[in-house]
Amino acid sequence: MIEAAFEALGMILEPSRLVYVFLGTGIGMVIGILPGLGGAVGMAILLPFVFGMDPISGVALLMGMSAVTTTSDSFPSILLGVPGTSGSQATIMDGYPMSQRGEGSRALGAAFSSSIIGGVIGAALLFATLSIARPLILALGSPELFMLSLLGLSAVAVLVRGAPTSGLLGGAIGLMLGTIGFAPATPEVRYFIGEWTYLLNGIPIAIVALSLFAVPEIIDLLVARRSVTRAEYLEATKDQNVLTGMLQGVRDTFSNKLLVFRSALIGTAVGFAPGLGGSVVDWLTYGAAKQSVKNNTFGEGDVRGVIAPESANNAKEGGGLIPTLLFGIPGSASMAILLGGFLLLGIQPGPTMLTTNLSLTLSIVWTLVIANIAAGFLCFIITRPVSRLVTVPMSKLAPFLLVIMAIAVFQSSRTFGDIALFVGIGIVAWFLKQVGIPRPPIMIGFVLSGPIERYLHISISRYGWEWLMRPGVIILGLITLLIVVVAIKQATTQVSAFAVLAAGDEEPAGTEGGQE
Amino acid sequence: MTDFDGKAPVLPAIQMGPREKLRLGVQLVTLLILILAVREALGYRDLARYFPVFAGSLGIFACVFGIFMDQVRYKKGIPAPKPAIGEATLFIPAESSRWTDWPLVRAARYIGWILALGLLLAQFSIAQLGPVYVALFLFLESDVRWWRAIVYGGLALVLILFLSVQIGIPIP
Repeated sequence: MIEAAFEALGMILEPSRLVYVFLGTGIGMVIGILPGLGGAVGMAILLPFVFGMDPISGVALLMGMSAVTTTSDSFPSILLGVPGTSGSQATIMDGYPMSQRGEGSRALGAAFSSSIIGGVIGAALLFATLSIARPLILALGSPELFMLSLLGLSAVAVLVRGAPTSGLLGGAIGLMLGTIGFAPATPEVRYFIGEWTYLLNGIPIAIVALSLFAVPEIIDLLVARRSVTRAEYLEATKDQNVLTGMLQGVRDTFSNKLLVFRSALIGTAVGFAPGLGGSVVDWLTYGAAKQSVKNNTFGEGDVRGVIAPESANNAKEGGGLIPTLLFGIPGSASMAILLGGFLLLGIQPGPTMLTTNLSLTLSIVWTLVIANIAAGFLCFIITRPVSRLVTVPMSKLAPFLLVIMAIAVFQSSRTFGDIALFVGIGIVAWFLKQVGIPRPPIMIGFVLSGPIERYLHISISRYGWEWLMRPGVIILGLITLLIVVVAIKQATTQVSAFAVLAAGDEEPAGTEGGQE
Repeated sequence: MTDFDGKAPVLPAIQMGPREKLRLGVQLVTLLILILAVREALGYRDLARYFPVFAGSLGIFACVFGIFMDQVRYKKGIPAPKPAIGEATLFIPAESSRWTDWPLVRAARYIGWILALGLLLAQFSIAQLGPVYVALFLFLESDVRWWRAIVYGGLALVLILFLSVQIGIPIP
């Protein structure tokens, strides 16, 4: 394994591939800085462009982008009190008060250094898991992989927003979208509407990803008409001694080594669990830090309140990659899009990632390490010019993004059907967002529809219905059932809670969750 | 993420707000589509046709359960949940009473821009249309001065040509 790791390092350090890591890192930094756009949107925009690339370069571009949005998202969170991505909401709690009292650069220094360390710890844990899990993964057959896919989809559907019905509906819509066109194992055509032959080959994943995530976000950001004035920005960055402040932040990180490590561990674990992801990880670690750190002033500008979530949200990428790479089960929207990228590049996630594609898998680990370190240092070096990006209003960026997206979707099959579907699904996705149907389960259902159907077909062809009696299948089936039942029970309890609150003339709290 | 000021109007009890009605409508329409899908799939016995039934059944379960939950909430007279920051200001203007500032109207305007991009691409190449689209969007929606809008349009052309020539992406 160690030899393979060094071989993968050699491959990723080839200049022609390294340039894609840095390109992805640069794009990810910009996406992270722009409030409202996160890793899923960035990955959706990049996805069509990786088609036809060398697999290692394509994955390096996507991973380089995804790994660093959670580093540069500290700029808007700390300087303006606006989350750059859903994973940096907790950073605001202490980062923004620090910025207001003239310690913005110290908070940024702490955020960047803890992000670097967290990201590297996440990558190391991913590497360790690959080594340990190898025999287990190789023992899994199609029935277990089918049940694992079902488990992943159910968990995401019921956990993603705390609204199991909407999540299940989203998952079902995704599965249905994924079954359009020819069946994978037989020449049956499903949902063939009229004479529109475009649908025969199914809907391209790049179009679904862009339409589901990029279009609704751009419309909502335009509607929100956020206006960050230059005066506000200058007020937030008023402390002039940027370098001294940043070095102080780095020292803060190193004097809280245990907190950084513990938060990174939590981040990796949350990333591994399907359905939790970006919007939860920062609050979980923030809460854990608040409980465990003595003499804290969390909420009033305590640097440890910045270090904990920033370390965790970079580490979660490593955790999220474990089920994505090993089982082909994405735990979040961005991982689902990454999985789509693998399919576009001709890579089949699952046990082969530890056999024939081992060097590619390890190159992903190295990409995580390189991208995190590069983004962290870049943030240190070009803080002032880059941070000014937060003042660019979406109305100036939107037309450029829309044109790039139109070019991107047209790469899918180079027919007008691509554009028509992009616009159509995009508008429907915006509508779904407004009525509270979460989009990550739709994306994950869409991506998993192929593997689920294929594994089911192979299981029945090979074992008949006896595959249902395999111990692994029974255990995974029971876990899936348990997750769904518990989630539905919680939803019912929530209704009862609403009734109690209504009786007391109180308003229940909203249940908004993250999309990432 | 919106103009939402944190003071959401509380919908009166035993009254479904527009958001709840809309959600119920979506669930009912989806339920109808799923029933049609399952009905189509039931005529076939092989796996390829059976699989969409699996997806459809899951959706029907979710829809029925969702409608049931909405009805429970409605019957009990439970007020609609308070909108979280970043959502649910779609129908209620937060700051301005001018109808052109209503978030729904603004959203319709931007959806119109996206539709226009799609429809125009059916007739023109994006290399011809892209720069004009960018310039027009910026001039009409961003209060950018006309000469700056033209400069940004030129930048869009450079970007499109870069994607086309340097990266080798065929432009529609």
